[in-house]
Amino acid sequence: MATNLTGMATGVAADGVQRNNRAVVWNGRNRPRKYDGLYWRNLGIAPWQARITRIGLTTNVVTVTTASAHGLATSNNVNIFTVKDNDIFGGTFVVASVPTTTTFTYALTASNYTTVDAGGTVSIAPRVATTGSSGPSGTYYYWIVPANKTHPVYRNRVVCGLPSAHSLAVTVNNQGVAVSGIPSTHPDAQVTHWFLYRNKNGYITSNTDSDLQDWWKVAEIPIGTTTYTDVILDDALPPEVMDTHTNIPPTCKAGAVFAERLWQTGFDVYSTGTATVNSVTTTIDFSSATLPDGVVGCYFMKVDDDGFYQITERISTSKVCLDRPFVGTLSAASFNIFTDQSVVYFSEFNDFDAWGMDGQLFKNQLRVGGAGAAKSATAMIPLGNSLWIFTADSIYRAYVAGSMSDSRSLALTPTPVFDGVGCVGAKAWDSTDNEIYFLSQRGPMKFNGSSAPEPIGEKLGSTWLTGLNASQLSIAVVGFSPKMNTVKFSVPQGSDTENSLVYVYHRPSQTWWREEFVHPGFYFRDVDSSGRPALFYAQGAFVFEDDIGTSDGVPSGTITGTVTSTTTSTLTDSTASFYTTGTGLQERYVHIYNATTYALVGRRRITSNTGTVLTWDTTTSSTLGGGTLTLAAGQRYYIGPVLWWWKTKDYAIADQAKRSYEAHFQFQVETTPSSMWITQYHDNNSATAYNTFTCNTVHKKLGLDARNFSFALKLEGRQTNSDIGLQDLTMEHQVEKDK
Amino acid sequence: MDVAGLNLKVNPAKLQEFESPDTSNAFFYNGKYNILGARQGKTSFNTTAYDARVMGVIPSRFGRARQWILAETDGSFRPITAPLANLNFPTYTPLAHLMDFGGEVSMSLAYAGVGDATAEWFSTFTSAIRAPMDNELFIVDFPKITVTGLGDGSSGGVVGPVFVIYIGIYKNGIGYYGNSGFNFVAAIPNAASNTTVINPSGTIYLSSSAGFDNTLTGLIDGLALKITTTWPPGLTSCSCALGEIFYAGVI
Repeated sequence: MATNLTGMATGVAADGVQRNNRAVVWNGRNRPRKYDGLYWRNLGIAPWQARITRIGLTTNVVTVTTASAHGLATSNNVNIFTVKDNDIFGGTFVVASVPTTTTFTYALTASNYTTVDAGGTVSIAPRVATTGSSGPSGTYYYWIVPANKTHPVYRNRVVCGLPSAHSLAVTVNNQGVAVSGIPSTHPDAQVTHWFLYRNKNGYITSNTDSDLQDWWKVAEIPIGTTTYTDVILDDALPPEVMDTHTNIPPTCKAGAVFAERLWQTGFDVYSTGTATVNSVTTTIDFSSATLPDGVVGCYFMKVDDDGFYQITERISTSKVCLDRPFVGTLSAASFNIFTDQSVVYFSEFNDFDAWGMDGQLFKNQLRVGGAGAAKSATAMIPLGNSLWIFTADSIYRAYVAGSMSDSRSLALTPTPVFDGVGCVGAKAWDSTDNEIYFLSQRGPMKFNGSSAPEPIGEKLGSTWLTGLNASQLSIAVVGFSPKMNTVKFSVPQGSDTENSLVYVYHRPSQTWWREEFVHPGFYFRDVDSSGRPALFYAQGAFVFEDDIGTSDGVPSGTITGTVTSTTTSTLTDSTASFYTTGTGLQERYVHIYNATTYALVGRRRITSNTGTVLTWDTTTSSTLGGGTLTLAAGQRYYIGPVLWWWKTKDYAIADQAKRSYEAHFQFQVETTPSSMWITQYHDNNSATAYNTFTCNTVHKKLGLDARNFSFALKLEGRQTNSDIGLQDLTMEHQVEKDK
Repeated sequence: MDVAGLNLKVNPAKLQEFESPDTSNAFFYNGKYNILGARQGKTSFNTTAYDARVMGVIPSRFGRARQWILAETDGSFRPITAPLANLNFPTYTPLAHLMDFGGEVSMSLAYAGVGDATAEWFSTFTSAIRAPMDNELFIVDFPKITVTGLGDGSSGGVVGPVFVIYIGIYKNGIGYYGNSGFNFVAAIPNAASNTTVINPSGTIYLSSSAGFDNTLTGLIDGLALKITTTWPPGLTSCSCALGEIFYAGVI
């Protein structure tokens, strides 16, 4: 059965990709995870580390206490860093003894040092011991690599972690090698095996740490087994070599797949909570924040402070270690945790679980803007043979300059390819037909990767964007609707904290119209129930398919009727049987209109309902569907759609002043009395073209005033009796040029 | 004062149906004017019991199961069956679908003690295609690989053997492969005989960096498969039931 992933950071937007029968998800605060249909797993295998709690030195022997079982064995390699008095204790050492599961010693010639509480981290690089027995001849080194064999990934590849320290050399002559000291545990619960590797034919390079040396797989040793006797002849070694590029991925907010690698950048900033310096100044306590994993490598900064510190370990969900002692006071101070957003990380070729070489956090990276001119990436968009990396005001290009499988072939333009225009957020773009549509601070743009981005929203003016702050811009979303061939740009209005305004760009006609009463948190594309590409959006707890005219978002129950009683926050239809399953009609709109004239009284976004009562929030802004509303019994309502019986496309108005139209409506039957309500939309506004349109003839002419309209017009209409059937609509356009 | 009259005509048959307008931006001028739709509305996917906001959706496919992964406010990621049941759509969009083996292809390996063992199998295209360029790829979907092996009777289990399937191209009676094989390990317990069924799938890149001879040009005759193994304790045969192979083109 499919499982749920829990324990990720709460309240933050997430994104991901589907790739190779796996879904990879990220949210900017946790290490990316993957899902194979059955299991959730962290990407990659975490390096083996333990937190140091105490350290001291007596007679040239350092004793280290760790917070949890360290799993070390004698002669293992350890790297001590960010410990108290790091100048004395920091460095790489060989474990001399293991008195307990949480203590170990190593030799260090220095003055005695009283044991103290200490922050810091020990990274463990287990090293196996080797002795000759019977088998191959030559000089050999051995490595062990943690692996998760239970959940292989793309190409059936087993997920592996960083290699251990290699063994000491063993020289044998027609002898095998007895390998011992294989750790019986690994702190990452994903690890099921140690893979054993060695060199071949007794040959090694002068630098045995080189990743250019091939190390051949000898055996797969289940966790718990600590010895292995290698009698495999060189010629019988399987053709599988060790990968030294298996570091774990960073926590990032924006991602993309390009050149068969996963790319990540950005971070979801922590801006709430308070922090306190622990007794050890490299250790920070958080009294009101819960930190998920994945913050290692990020930066910690006190608000309004100049200095920032790199986080080297997350000790617990409320405590982290810094790379150096914090300077200053930090009592109950606000803080930020962030990554260097000018850095763009990328995985190894065809391997989303591996992100760089050992010993270096996230080695695979490029920097936007280069040294001294760093810029924060806001979005990454693959198009053609490039990955376009957007900042707030510029566009850079990442590309492959050589073999795609070689990380060194990946490059990023040192200066912007296009300057002066960028993307406002990680989700504020979509692409189709080799064109990227994105929202910049200068308005909607179109970009084809070869010529400069082209503004497409001049007709919209700029006031709808200039009034928005950075936080509002960051939640803007853009989506392409394949069915309508439109691109939707959705932003907040006023002080809204949700998107509440959608500008719809019709690609073929290059015209715009405006939608309201919809609040997309984000768009995504999939196929609809007929298998056709479609646009979806999430709003509240729901996912809606966009732009279809069928069930209107109401699964069952009453969708229209007459108001029997009302308050300013409720509508009651005592005869209704509203849908109440789960969250009922939450997030749907109810439209109330005059039963006689069909004039719209108001629209409200339903927050809850019973079988007969609909409720909305009076404290929410009207642009988000809230606010008080005075209704009257006898008025009609409709739940779900914007109630138009028909709706024209918008069309452009020629660029002249003073225009008028005559609209000729042809109906199927003559019905008396029947009235029609028409609203014309233009210039992002609406106007009532004709309130009650008495249909007492099969043909009706209507004059429409379009004077001083600037760019587009569309008509929406409804009639009191749908049986009259609109058959034909002819519009005669008259242009009065300036005299 | 000049007066210009223009007619905009509705096609009543389109009242209920969207039709793409002219791309010339001239449907205003040339008299075409369509009704967008009878009604505008939304169809929701009801997440029913979930009160939190949806914080993300990742459309996904696992095997043949169609799912969305919902990210929610409480920090959970919840795989749900999307309202798109019974859809069968490809994970990849191949530029050309060359062949569907559709059945079992058997390749037998024979051994004389320890050493390499190799079997090859060729499939000829019904029509010749050009040779793959560097970094083009084959996407391989093996629904099932059945391995029959023979243990050596000694105590303890046997790890391995490791099999490698190579996908290459077939030209002039020769299979051309890279050094980037598709590895899988069939665990052969120490029984007199055992059959292991595994379900790998993957992609093989025919890239120069992977040792593939990308100087081959012109038309090629078909696909080549090669399965090799080293260090088998005593393998008697190997059969592969292959599914579809796509030539997926440049990535």
